[in-house]
Amino acid sequence: MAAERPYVDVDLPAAAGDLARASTPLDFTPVYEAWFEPCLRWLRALGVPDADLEDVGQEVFVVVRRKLAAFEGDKLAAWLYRIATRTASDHRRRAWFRRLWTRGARIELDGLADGAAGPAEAYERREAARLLDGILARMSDKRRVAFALYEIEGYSCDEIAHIVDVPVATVWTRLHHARKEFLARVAELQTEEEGR
Amino acid sequence: MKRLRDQREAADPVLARAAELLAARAPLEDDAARRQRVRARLRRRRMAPRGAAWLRAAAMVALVCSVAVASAMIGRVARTIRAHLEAARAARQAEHAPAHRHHVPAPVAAPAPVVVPAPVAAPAPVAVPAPVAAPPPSPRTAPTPHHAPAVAPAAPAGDSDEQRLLVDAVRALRHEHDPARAERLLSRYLDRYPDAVAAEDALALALEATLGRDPPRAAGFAVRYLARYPSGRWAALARRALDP
Repeated sequence: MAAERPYVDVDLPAAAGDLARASTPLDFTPVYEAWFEPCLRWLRALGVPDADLEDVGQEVFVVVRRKLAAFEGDKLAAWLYRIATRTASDHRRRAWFRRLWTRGARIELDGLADGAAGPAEAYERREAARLLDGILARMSDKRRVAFALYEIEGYSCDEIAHIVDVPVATVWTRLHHARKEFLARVAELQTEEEGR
Repeated sequence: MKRLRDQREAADPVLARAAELLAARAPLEDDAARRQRVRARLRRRRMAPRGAAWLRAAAMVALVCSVAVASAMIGRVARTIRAHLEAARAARQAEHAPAHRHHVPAPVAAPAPVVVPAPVAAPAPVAVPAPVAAPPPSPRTAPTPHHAPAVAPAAPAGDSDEQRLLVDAVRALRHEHDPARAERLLSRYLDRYPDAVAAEDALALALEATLGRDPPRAAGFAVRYLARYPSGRWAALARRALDP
């Protein structure tokens, strides 16, 4: 499964083990270099919009830098994931307040540089992404993370279990329920589209 | 377990649609430039003087205080105005009330007409004639029936209609291969929502719908597009339409 991923950069368990063995306490630089990109993927699965990924990723690593000296143990990925979860949740809360002031006006930066396809194709892709985000937003956090990491980011269930720090069977269960929910919502959407 | 996104060719239409939706979100790719950028920002942040944080906190506190004071003042002004209005209304009612009203004080306190027809309890029905006891129609309630329907239809139609027109147009263009209908829908969209957020997309879609079919109309849309968005995302397409 892992070979299907478009990127092969970090072997998550190995990276965590190596770093933990290399030095205690851990240095910030190698942790940042190895885990920044995976962290962004987790944040995306946690529902952070692409346009905010960089900023929220930065916030995660501000916390990591502050707390790294106190980190003990070998579950670095799970520790980072917990920080990412809290940061994403803070971001969501702040975004909610921001939307109150800006009345929901949001510029999707992803759409701006999309000059390759024709207007209809670009619009259709954006619309599909909007629908997908809508469906994912209605899922519970646990299901959404398992689903997005597996279906969108291409992680294997073992890797997800390692990051989220739960048994693999739990990941399979979450994924199973998430897929069922996702397909039910897609079926609803399709009925709605056909009804028009 | 096979990933959903790999099932675009599935016979089940729900599976195929799910795969289509998932394909709209590509996996996040590594970006060394982004990593460097954030790294540099983290370094700058570490070097930033700590005073800046205090200053920001102080500004926040000042802002919160001023908002609290302002809202308290607004509340006080509102209360004063309301008190004045109530006093004026009471004075008006006192003026209109007939001289014998003081015999029966209860109906004055009860504003709702429903309460008044408690004639069972009233000892002397002659002393309380129904039309007098009924409170005079409030000046606020009277004119509303004339004003209400004029405002109603414009507001709630909003987003859903806007979205539906665009989605239907894209479907007509891409799936039903009916550019004429797409153009009609888009023209309607542009007439109704000329300054909408998606007006640029609508113009570009209209351009695409007319491009191979009706060059003069396509040129018209291209001119409109370039006039509004000279360096927009689809400016190159618009220029191509003007100069094939």
